[in-house]
Amino acid sequence: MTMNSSLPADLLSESGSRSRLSTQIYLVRVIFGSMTALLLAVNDASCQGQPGAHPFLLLVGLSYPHLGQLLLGRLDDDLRHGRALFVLDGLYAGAVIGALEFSGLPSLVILVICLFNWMIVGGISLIGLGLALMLLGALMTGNLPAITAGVIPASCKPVLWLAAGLFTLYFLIVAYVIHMLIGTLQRQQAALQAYADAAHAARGLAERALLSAFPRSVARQMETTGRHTPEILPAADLMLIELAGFETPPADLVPLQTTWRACETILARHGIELIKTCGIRGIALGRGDAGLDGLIAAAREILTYFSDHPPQSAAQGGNPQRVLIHRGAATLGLVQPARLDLDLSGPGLEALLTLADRTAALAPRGLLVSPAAHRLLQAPGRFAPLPAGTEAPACYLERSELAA
Amino acid sequence: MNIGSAPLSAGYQALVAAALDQLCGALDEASLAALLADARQVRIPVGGTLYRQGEPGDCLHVVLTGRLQVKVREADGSERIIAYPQPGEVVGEIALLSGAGRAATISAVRDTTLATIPRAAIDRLIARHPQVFSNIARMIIARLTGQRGHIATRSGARTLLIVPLHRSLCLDEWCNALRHELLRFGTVLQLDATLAKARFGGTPGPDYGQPLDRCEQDHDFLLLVANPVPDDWNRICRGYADEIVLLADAAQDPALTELERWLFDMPETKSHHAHIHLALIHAAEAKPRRTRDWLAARRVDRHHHLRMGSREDLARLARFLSGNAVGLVLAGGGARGFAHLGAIRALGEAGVPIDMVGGASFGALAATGLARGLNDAESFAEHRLAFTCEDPLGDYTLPVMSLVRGEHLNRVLRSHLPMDIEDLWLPFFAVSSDLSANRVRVHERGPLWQAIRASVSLPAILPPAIEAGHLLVDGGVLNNLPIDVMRSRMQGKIIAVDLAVDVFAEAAYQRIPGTLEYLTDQLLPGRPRRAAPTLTRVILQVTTLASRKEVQHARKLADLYLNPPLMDFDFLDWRRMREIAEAGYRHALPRIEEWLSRHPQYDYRPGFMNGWRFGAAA
Repeated sequence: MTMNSSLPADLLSESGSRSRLSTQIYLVRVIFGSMTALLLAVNDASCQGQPGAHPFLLLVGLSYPHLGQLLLGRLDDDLRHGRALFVLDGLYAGAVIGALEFSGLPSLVILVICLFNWMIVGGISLIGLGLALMLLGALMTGNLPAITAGVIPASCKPVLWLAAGLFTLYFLIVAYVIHMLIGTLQRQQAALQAYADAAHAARGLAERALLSAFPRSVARQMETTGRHTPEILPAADLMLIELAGFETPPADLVPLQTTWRACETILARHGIELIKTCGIRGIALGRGDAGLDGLIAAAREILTYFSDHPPQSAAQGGNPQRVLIHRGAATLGLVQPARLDLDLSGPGLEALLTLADRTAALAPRGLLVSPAAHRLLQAPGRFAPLPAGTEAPACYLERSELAA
Repeated sequence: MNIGSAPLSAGYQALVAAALDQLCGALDEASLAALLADARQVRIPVGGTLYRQGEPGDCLHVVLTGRLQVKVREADGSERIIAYPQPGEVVGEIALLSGAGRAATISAVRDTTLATIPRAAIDRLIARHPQVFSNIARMIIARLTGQRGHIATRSGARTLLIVPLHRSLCLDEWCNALRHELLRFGTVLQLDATLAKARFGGTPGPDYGQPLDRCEQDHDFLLLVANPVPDDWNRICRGYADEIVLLADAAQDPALTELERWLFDMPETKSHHAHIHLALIHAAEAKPRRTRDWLAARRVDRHHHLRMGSREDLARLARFLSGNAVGLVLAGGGARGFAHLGAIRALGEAGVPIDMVGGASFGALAATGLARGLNDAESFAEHRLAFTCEDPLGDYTLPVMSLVRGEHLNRVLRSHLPMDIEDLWLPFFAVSSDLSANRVRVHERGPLWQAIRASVSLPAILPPAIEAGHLLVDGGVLNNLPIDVMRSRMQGKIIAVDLAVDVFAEAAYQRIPGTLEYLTDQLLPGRPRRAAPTLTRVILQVTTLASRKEVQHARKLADLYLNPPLMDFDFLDWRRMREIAEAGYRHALPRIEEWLSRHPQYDYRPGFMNGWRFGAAA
């Protein structure tokens, strides 16, 4: 399983979605400005009978959203400055309401739309600021004294219908924009969730991979208990594999990896764990059903396999030349837990290593078993003592190797 | 189809003597010498038939080299392979003793050499030593009762032949890596023409029979590497191959190569069906495409896509070749199918490789992620996107032909699954129910989206898919858990994920509520929200109910059967995909771990049996 190291593209395109959002807000503001200007124009023409009575306000209504976008549009990316434009809406809306002489429904529509926008964008504080500017705008028209005097003109029918229509249209448009935004948010949420899932899975995999640095039995214990208790094995079946073919330092470790990988695969099939490697030497431990004869079978298979498929060159790998088997006491555990350093120690291992050193000249290749292991084999006759004819042989070598 | 008949050569006399000793009991030297003098040596080429079931038997045979196949025709007409006799084994003794016709058909699956001993010689022996009769009878009875290996089914060694189709491939590297992967399942011996000459001496020919037999007997797998041009070595290899792998560079022209033409024109290839695999090697970042062109040009039993340098892909090929592939079968079950994603996640975490996937209905859909090489998280994200944002079942219509028009679903499937099934990384199949032919239809070729569309077409909810004039509906109607389909297509282990809920909830109402009563219960606060048998729910239930009996039978064919507890989830709980997937994961993980402890060879977690500890480069 792999996980992208970076965030999903949907989330990375945050700046892109912001710019789309500011464009949408700009369009909403254009609609709002045009709508209020239209209300004012119709009111002037139909209700007041003075078409074009507020040319300056009409001009501002049609132009300020564009000017605002041009001058301050980039600030929309920053939410704080983006709010400034909404506050300006308040100033203009107040002026229009004043120009409408606070006539009932149209003024209410403009007020509600502004309140809605402010609440969506900035909450209560923006509403306070917006209302203050709206009041200022109304004052600028000079019509505020009329409302304080209780003189509010009735709206004529065309303006009422227009206000109701614009109210409906505006909220339809805003609802559509919100719908689109929710869709985007949902996609981003899905992408984020997928990213979180992948991160979670990758973490689990990393933990497991870490555990896999250990042999299976040790990894199992660490997985269930979180630690590994040293295992004292009074009669451990131990195997030492020695490779040849690495007399000169290899350019890289791939040949060594290839060789050990094949050895480990064969050992695992026989239920034997390769515990540790140290250069051309590897220590394996047989437990459970494998037994000494299982170790013998695995060792024989390793030697046969590499004899059948010798590496063509040093760069292709080494060749297990000797396999030594011994039974003795050993302890398996972590010697440096922080460095995941698993090791075997004990008299059994020492005896095996000593045996390897003592027999290096006697038997440079083949399958050797210690006297302690030889006594326990089912078919000990297949091995001959070394050195030959001594009462206390150092080890026993498989007869086929002697013949060779 | 015996070719040639000659006196028994001296080299085989010891083998025949040992086989006759075992069959007849200890024979004195004179009797044995008389039998050997009467013995004749015959050779049968691979694919040839020694005799057929029912033919009169007038001799017995001892296998000297090669391998035979014993096939019995049952009363119902079906045929069953019961044994693969190898060198040193005796065949044909039953008919000889009983006087009846041959009990089985025997053919050669290798170039085989046999010693033939005529009835007259055996009759003379029995006349002189009557106890031989009872020895042979005891032997036959032992075999028939399965006490001897001859009757039991066994394939013996698997001999694999690698045939390089293009010189652009680094054959040595591929073969060495394949050998390493096979090592997980048994002992391997790799031989090419040079190694064989060094080992056997001489030149490739009939003399190679005995040493090759010995190699087969001594190893679990014999990996033969063909030369890039037709020659005698390749001919010998062909006679021994159980599985032939055509190793091809996917970037090359898919037309037949000269070597392939020669190979396919060999009478042995025509008469004997070794499994032929096409392994297409792709560049590391490439995606398979136009595989159908490769398949149209040649007859292969299976094709594999391998990425350059990918050990996972090579390990998959090794599992297929060694008969250890892992197949995953996923059942249908609507939204409950999200449990598959949890099970797939658990399999991934446990390190169990999946080599082939298939399923019915939603199971088939869930399987596409794996087959396309997506990991569980990517697959889950895609399903979430498809089911929550794209609303594939949202185009309701007047329920004349179906409740949903299916156009949304077509669009979603087309956009997410634009490839052919042949181009998927993993072998894949989906099943649908063919209403026109009243049988299960298995989709393993052609456009993937069409296969899935057919497999998920819930009757009455979605309109049936139409393919070549046949009406296809949801695979769950006839086979909701197609383990048998998987079993017939691969050798190895099968993991099945079933979504069936065996204990069905009792009816929440004493009677079927009226529409108004049901809506009142659903909508008004304070009223109990009871599950009622709505139209959709009943259709969904009935769809899988029909195949429950088959599923009960098929589940026995699975090596690991997973049935997550999904009682709390409805067929239509699309919004609860996370919970459902989690339920599948929680159910699957401990069971997979337990299964793995019994089958450790399938544990492909880093570090176990694959040298991760020694570096990823190995």
